[in-house]
Amino acid sequence: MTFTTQLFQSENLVLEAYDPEKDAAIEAAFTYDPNYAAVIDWDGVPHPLTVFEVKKKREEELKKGVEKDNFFLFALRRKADSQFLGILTLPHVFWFNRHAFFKVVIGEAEMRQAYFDEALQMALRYGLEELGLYSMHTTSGEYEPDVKQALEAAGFKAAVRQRENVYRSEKLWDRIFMEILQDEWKIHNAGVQS
Amino acid sequence: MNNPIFTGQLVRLIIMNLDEDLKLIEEWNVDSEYQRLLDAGAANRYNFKLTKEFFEKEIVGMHAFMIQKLDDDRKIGMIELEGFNWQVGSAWVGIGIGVRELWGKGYGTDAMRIILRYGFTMLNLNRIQLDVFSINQRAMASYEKAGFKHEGHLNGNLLKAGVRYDEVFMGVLRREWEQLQTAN
Repeated sequence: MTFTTQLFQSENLVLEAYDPEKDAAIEAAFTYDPNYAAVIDWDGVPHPLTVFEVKKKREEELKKGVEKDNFFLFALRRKADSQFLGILTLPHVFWFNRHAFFKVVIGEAEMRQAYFDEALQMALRYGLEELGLYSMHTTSGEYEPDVKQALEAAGFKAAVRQRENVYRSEKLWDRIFMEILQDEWKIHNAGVQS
Repeated sequence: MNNPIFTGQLVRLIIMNLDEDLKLIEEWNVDSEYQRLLDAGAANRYNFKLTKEFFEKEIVGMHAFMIQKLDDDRKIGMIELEGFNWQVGSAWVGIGIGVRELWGKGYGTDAMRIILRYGFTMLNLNRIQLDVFSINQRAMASYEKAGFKHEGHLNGNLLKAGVRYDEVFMGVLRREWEQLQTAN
């Protein structure tokens, strides 16, 4: 038996180790977008962050990833020119329940439009194939319709709707937990490929 | 101490005394069912010193209270608001009644009503949310009584003894809570 699936490469993207020395500055520039900033400062009010803050946070997370085996962070880069596009993170894998929350975020709108679907498939392949998870979920909402639609197209279903739990563009929105089970993903992929 | 905000029909909420209360929590944790209903993590026995260090660090971001019976001043559980999002005015609530023989007698519902009053009238929150496992029907009924509404569930997110249970999410908005006060 061989493992034919490539986890860290797809047609246009590669998943690489996050490098705080060069990636933090790019990410800091992305944090003008609150949907990006929210994935760095999980509990706080999403706001533009300095390079110092992003670097410190990522270094702490990478250290945590080495000390524990339930945290994962990858840099998403374009294969052609190694441009840093964003990240894939699984900040807490619940091994005993075989479940994880994850986030794929891409900083620039045109890059998101071009590569989000592909990055999402890499995230699912890593979580559901390599980590062997039963299910994964992420958050989205009507405040980012492109991301929500991409998740639905990949087979995710809206599982939880936390009313009025996100503030964007001068109004409150529902935070939607989008979920996919390993079994659903296999069936969805079989349908896509046939 | 009977501050009206923190006093209900059956219990009052009082600030924690870490040295005293962590010993109580340690006693409650002997009951693994209590732990399994309380948390998605694996039930465990925790070293007192490490537990104290954890609370000393984490309590800064929590509004944590012990639940004390009004009739005999016995501390029977704890409840806390945490994970505040001040941009939208939301927080998570967690509750545990550690004394097993007092489960299902209305103490948890009363404590929850108090902390909702505290969250909405003193902290100016707009929503309070929680998660609970589908196996814990008693807790869900209690949360509904306090005003929480079901907001969905993650399928089979808790695995215990080879059986998967849903992680159910519930939330209450301030206007819903206010309507409930008017109705009552």
